[in-house]
Amino acid sequence: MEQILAAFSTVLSPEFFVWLILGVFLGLVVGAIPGINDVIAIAVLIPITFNLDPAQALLMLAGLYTAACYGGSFPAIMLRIPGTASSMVTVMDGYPMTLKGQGGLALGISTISSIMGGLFSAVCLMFFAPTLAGYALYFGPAEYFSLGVLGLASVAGMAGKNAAKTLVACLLGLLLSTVGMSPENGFPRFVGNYFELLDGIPFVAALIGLFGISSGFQLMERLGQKTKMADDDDVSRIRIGKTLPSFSLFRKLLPVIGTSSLLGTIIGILPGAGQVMAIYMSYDLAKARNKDKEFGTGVPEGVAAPEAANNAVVGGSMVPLLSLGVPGNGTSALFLGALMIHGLRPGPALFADPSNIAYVIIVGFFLANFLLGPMGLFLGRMIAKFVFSIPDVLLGAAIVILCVTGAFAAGNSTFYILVALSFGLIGFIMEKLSIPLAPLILALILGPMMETGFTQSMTISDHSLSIFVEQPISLCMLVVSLIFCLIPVVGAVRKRHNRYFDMG
Amino acid sequence: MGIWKQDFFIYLFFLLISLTVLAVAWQYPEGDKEFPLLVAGCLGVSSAFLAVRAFFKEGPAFQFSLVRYRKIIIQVILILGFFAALPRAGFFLAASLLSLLTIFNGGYAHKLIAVLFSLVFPGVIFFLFHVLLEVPLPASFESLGIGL
Repeated sequence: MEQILAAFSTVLSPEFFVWLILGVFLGLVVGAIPGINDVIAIAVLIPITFNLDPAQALLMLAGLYTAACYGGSFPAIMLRIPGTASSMVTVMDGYPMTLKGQGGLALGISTISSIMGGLFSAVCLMFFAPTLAGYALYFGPAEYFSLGVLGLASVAGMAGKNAAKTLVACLLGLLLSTVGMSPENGFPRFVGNYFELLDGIPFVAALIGLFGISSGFQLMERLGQKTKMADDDDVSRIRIGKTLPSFSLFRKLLPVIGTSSLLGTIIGILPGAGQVMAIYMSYDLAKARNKDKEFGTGVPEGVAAPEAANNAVVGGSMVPLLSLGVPGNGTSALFLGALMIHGLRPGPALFADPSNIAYVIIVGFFLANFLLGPMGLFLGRMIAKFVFSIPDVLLGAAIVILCVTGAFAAGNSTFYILVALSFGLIGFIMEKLSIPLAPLILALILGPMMETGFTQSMTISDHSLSIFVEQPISLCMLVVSLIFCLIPVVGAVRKRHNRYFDMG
Repeated sequence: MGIWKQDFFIYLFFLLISLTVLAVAWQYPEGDKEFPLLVAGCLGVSSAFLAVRAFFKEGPAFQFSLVRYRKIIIQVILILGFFAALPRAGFFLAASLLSLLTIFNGGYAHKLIAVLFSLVFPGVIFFLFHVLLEVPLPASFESLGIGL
């Protein structure tokens, strides 16, 4: 408790709080711009934060991550254009509310739901992450390897129809993680004549390429094929109406917000499940519990459920990251990158760090949700109007310039631009072929931990694989991994079975 | 028909990657080769299985159009140009040029706005990175005594 209070006083001091405010502001802007999301923004911002104090840098990123998925709801509600993937479902009831002249109310519900979802998951993060980190002290090499397997298996298990492509993306990521000096003897592997690769593939440059440059390419491809998505693109002509919901409406929405927050937090903790799954599940749950309402016609519950869930994922995804070093999704994977470049290692050591940085980050997530209210309600509409006045082509040029600058700054070398460009092309091709990017990133991050765990386990056990099933924690994680892997198989068998009986 | 299926090509490509890695990693010393061999082996087996499955399953055909991806190919060349120009011309000039050509590549009609944006935006980025945050970027006009 003392550490939490100390973290509050640190974060609330002006020299740190201003970075949190800046992060929230950037998150609102980034969220409101379709085509740019929190992943791209964090990837580009990481090199900028090199010279900042780690706490200032991480507070800015925490603010950005929290605000971006909320910021995506402005264009979703006002223009039927989701600013981020996490606001895809908000469109379904948010935009019809705007057409009814209740756009302001939809924004108000979105704000309140996002704040409550975010606060719920931040509280869970505050109490679960240190406890889970304590368990990490019992982890040996076999457990760390199995933890990596669990992380990747959960990604594959949650992939649904795309399980096969997710599997190959995971394996490709693991292969890419073996580039550079081996952890055992420092032997250079797959580096050719590029000594820059001795430390492995430059992580930040690769992420900038995969998410930033590839989105620039996508924007380029879209230019010329632009369709008119909203019935009326002019935000200024939309009637907004009152913003804050009445107390009786708020009371009616409370159960939806509560269940969606819980669902979002749990899904956030699972690696690979992500915001999209959380928003769809919470929307479906709200629909099932409110059968008397016609969802999709401007129902307030249809806005509250996805908005509470997507912000709850944020705190949830940080639980395994801060405690075990396993990111819950692509954005938290970048957060791991940010921690690493500031010389911080997630796990029990992070919580024991004398700078109290783990609690500063957690409190940052907590307070960022409070900032969403005033900043979102006052700046939201203004930001949405401004970003929609920027032509796509200028936005594309800005993305490209930011990405190449960020990549160069990541290593102060032009080689990093080449890495970003190569990964940009890989990312673009993968998107075209419907191969998910997040598993590749997750595997790229988990790869070194898994390899070290695997190699050390082999040495300890005299090259016997039985070590992974002899340790109880490792065995448990492998069993859960197996269950995750069986989810798509069982789904496919059940589908075939149902089809067979339908035909019969 | 089967051989032109997109998914078949994807898995065939992954199979080739895994075979290449297996061939290269095999020559590495003991202790350094086990993990890459394990992962490449898994990738090889799964992509071979998936390629066979994709071959016999209905799916979209493989398509590639140079015309459709013309803008992207040009964009790649522009970034490569930036890569080559950055150490010689400095950040501001290289980035301004990249920005201007990217905007024209996107088919933007307002030339004056394109030029203004290409001068202002890289300047702001240079100021933000180089001056405010002290992230070193090559200066364009250092010899002229201008800090840009």
